[in-house]
Amino acid sequence: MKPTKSFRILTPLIMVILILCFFSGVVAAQATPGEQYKKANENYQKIKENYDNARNKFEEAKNLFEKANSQLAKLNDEKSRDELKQKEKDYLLRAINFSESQLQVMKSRLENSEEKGYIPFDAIKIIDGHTAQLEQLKATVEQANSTKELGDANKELKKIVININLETRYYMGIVLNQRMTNFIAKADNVTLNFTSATTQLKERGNDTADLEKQVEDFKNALIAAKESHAKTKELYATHNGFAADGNVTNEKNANKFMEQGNKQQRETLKDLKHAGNQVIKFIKDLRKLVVGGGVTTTLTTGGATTTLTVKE
Amino acid sequence: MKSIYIFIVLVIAASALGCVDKNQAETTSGTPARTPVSPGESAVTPEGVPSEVVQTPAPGEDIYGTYSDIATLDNISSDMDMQIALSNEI
Repeated sequence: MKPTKSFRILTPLIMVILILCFFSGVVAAQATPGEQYKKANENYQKIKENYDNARNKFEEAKNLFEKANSQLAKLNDEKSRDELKQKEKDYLLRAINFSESQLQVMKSRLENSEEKGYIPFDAIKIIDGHTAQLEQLKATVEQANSTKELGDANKELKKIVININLETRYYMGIVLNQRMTNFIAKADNVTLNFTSATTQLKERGNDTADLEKQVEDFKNALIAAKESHAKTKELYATHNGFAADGNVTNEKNANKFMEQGNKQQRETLKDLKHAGNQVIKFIKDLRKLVVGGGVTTTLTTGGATTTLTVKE
Repeated sequence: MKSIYIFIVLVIAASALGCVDKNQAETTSGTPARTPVSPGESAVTPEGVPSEVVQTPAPGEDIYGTYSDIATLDNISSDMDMQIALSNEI
């Protein structure tokens, strides 16, 4: 092949590749909900992995310390005391790391683009405040030489951890509530779509008894979820034990509120899972019917329309 | 020779636009793996009530993103159970 001829072919080829490269970005940017979920989940999993590692190390150090405490505390020689002090120090440092990793999980959840703005106060500021407290405490523990110093550090850690534990449940609870509200709103639209799709198929003479039953089950699960969700929202509106700025004001009240709120949320989640299963089952059965019956129907999904068409 | 070049251009065009292997990618994205559980999560709720397991939809069947939504709710619920249990021996 002559060089001139190969250049004649290569030039348009390179141009085509260059032009297509511009469009490939557009194609790549069109992420499906599944892909978006996968991406968000990947980021979360990285932080969660750190949390799991920190938890394992903490549990290990806690066991070693407790074991040493039961064996060495009775002995009064200097070597035993030093060994116990070292185990206590290790345990405290691991506990601080573990607490920090829990704060990171919370922070990542609150900074997630979808969940941003759900919390009506500056939770990130509170989380960062705890992280700073823990960092300071870490330095104190590292420099501590006496049992008393370590005991004081432990007392301070306990106070911080009580707040972190309560705030984790409260902040995550708010995020969960908002997510549930969104899910319920979405599910209301799904109800309309399912009813419309079932009616279309029925008018065409299809046997829709199973589909109608699923729609009914779905609606009932949704009603139950809405009831428990409304109760949870009432509890969260009062936020007993927590100030309007998200700080714990009364430990006992906050614990009681979280216990009640968590129970209601579990109820709602149970009903939403049941409703979710009905959605998945409905679409599966609808597809079967469409494929088998040779009909066309549409389901609107958040602005877009999914047309289940096989043959007319 | 010319047809080989046209074929190459078509293959490059298809891969650049994401047409090649697209079905496989959709299959993966359509069924997001259930997220690993957080510390407190289990198939049984703390009250001892067995929790319903959400069915994994077939590719293309989760048109409302229900499965992903439920998995997210489950994860957040599990995050709520993250609690630091300090030693009582100090």
